[in-house]
Amino acid sequence: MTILLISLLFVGCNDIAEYYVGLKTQPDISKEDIQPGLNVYGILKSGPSFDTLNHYFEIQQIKFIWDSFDSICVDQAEVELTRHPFAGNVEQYTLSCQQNCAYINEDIVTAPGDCWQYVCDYDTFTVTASCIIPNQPVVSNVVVSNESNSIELSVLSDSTAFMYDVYILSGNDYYIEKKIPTNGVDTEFSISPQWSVADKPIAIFVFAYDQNLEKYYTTSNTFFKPNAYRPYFTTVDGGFGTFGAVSSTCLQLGK
Amino acid sequence: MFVATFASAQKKNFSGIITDQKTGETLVGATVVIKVGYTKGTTTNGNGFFSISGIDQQVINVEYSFVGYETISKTYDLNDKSKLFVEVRLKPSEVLLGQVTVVESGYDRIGDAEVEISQHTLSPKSMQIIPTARNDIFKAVRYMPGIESTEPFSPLVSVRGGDPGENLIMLDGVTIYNPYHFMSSSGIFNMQTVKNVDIMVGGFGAEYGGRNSSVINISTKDGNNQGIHGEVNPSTSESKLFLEFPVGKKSTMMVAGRLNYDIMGNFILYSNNYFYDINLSFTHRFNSRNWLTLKYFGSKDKTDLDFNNLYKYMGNTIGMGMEDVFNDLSIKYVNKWNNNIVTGTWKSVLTSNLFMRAQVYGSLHAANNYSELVMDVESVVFNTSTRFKSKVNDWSAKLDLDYKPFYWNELKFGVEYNNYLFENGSVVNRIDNGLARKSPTLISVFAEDKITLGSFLIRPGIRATKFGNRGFNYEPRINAVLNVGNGLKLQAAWGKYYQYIISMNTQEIELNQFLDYYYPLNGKEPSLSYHYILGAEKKLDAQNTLSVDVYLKDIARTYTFDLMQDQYEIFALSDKVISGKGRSYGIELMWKGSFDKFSGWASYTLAKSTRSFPHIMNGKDYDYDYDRRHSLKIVMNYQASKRISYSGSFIAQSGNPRSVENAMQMFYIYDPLTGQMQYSPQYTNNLKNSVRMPWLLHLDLGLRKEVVSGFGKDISDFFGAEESYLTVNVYNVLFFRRNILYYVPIGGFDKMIPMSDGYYPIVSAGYTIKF
Repeated sequence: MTILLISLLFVGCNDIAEYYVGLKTQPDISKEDIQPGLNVYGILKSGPSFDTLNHYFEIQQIKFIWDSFDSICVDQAEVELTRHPFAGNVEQYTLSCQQNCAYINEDIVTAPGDCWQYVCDYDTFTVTASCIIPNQPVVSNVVVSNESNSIELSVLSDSTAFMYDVYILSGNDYYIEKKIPTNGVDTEFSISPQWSVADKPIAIFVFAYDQNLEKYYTTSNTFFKPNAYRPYFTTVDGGFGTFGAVSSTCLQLGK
Repeated sequence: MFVATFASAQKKNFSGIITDQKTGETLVGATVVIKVGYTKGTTTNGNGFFSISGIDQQVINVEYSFVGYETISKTYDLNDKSKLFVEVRLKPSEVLLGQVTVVESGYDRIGDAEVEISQHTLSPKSMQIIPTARNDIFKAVRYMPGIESTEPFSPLVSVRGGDPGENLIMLDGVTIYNPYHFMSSSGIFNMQTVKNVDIMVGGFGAEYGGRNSSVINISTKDGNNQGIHGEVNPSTSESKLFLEFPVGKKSTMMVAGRLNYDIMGNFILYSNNYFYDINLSFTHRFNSRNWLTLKYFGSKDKTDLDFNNLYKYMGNTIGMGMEDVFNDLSIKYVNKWNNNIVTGTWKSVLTSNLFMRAQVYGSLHAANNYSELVMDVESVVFNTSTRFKSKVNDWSAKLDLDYKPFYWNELKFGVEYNNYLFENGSVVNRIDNGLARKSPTLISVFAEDKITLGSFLIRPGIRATKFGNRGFNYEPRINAVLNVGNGLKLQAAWGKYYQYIISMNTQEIELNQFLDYYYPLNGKEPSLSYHYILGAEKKLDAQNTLSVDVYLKDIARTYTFDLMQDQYEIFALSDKVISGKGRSYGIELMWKGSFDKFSGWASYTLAKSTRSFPHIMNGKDYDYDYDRRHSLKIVMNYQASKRISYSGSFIAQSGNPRSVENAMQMFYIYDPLTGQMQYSPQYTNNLKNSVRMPWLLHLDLGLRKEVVSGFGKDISDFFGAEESYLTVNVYNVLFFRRNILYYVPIGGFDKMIPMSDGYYPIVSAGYTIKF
């Protein structure tokens, strides 16, 4: 052993540099250890945006890490949505896969305060979830300061909103900021974009997320380091992924 | 009781202080033996104080001895009251050729040497023979059985399968928080200032508390009262200065400083990385019975490291070049932390058998650590980051009393009051979770009684603690020792341990967890563990000792942070604290000693540590993050001649268990404004710590040579130095044997990339002047 170690010290070949003394260089992992299932994404939107559709639904599978990702999409699932409006009758919608794992139904109507239920069936898997569309965010105290090149605004406290995205748009320039509100307290934004806000038309979009999407976005994108414990992330039952809702408002400033 | 007290009043108490004749420093663990027809003996306590009660002879002959010092004998007439308390100075013995002095195998343990179990002592001389840890406590302690490193680059240690936050680290009796430097992952203690390091890895007595795993007690020098002495040590990466000198007739002072500069980082990575630490100590001896010490310690770390294109260093590890796999793999660290400690200690020999120590201190710590990972594979990009902020202010006062009413009986009492401020904040993936601020108090009272019954010693004790508004909790402890004879000693310990301040476990979120982020358990039951230990120690001869410890730690209640919970409750870090339980057990074998020209120690540990938490695998037991099944450690010094010594340290250990990814779940990134969807594949695993990493092998070699001629000698003569020496170290000799620390998953490839931290050996050289 001593001679082997000393000989290794004095050999400068690159192949030898990768030589491990009789030990494996790959971990013992097995496909049987993974938990198969559907990885779904569903979002309902209410309020203004640039998108023509007020929803987005997609379905994929959980894959073994060394499998090809070519067959990750699921385009044969049965997806049903049930709307329980704040006022009015219960409505049901069936979504169909158009392309790239995305399922749509152009008849879907959304409004703040509505409760929705989601059911997805594929193979032996059934995923269920529910959400409530948040109230439309109310923006106040908007101040644009040319001197400090900043925009300040407040979003009034709302118990149905668990996270806010603020988009500041002006021509080809844009700025996005995300904040988690404190329960019962108005959320303040003080934004200093890299571009000038002076004397320009500005559009401000504020999106309020429900609790499902807040949890999904703040706890799931977690690849901070390799080999840390990171179980599958989910806010749904019978599978993985999320189903949630956003509500938006828009302010136009300047000409 | 009255009769016994009256009877003992006819007998005399003999006590005193033992110091180093050359420096004036108190000697801890020195042996005092009175030969009075029968032999009565004791050792000096942590303050160099000894006391022997119940002496009925008028004239006594006393022998004083300490390893590394000349043994002396003195005769006293106890009718002379001035002889009831003495100050004794021992002269260091000369180093003879062939005599091994590096490892004091017969070195009596300090603290309570007679009854402590699972205790290790590291003298500065012992630490210097470890090439990697030549001047660093926290690297040196990892060569002790039961103490293991945690993460790559991290200075944190796990003791007997415990959490790093369960180790109480004290500097001259002051609790110190995160006593680590980033660069070189070393401790913040300048070795030149260190007098002793005590490490108790389990079963410690009622005098210590507040942590479940271990106590590391570092005592520093007070200063030389005989003249100006010091050491200057420039090297390729660090410069150190140490001075100690008398101030007038009754005072001494010690000044030390260290500055570490990252030349390689500055030139190659354009970073500005450095750390420094400063030690100041002033001691005034009013008389031989009373002295006051004032100390200040300060340290600061600043690191800004940006490893771009890291994949280029990974070679051909999966049969193809990394440029064919990665577009980018970059890691960034921006870390800042500091410590400031001020303390004043009054030591007083109140009576010949009553010693008092009173101390006040402030221990202040603040940290702000940012790390970022960017990985770009085939246009899929991960870009994750974390920032953790922590602040601890600990203002405390404590009083300890050592009382020896009878020869066979020693009592210790103490009370401590801590006033804390904790601030904790985190930003995870650019989402600010706000700042949590808490100001609890802690009151601790302890009492223990050591009883000697011939060859049997027993020390029962009790510690009572009150945290915040909660009621008192009680922590009974007991240690026992049976001296069987022929150098064989059997030991046992049992104890109950509470911990009110835990560490946020960020090791699964931070790229590397370098520090403990302290968090008080306001409103929650404290962590709780029970230690059960059996041990035996056999002196093979005057130089060699063999010991075995068998331990069980029942972790009845422990906590972890689920930092990836819903972020909505931004000020409710307490909601992210989850309670669980665990168990650690093992057997540790250790030899230490010397033969021929060799000196050192070797140990083997077989151990297991598990945990269970309700939110992890539904409460199923899993191998703990820092579980090391097998651990073999060897440290050896070869004194080739009076001027030249060679040293080596070797570690062979089982790898840690890790949660190696086995599945891919796509993370959807949807823009509600535009309706655009992007994807980020997430590599996941539903099984915690299911894969055991490969074994780690590590070998370092060192050389120390006294300079007696040439330019180096001219420099030392110019400064009037007593000696000067060169050191050359080669770290990571087995660099061809890559120690795999992580497996990096790459989607679409049927292999993982093994990552190591030791791609090349490192050679360092230093020059030291001692005067």
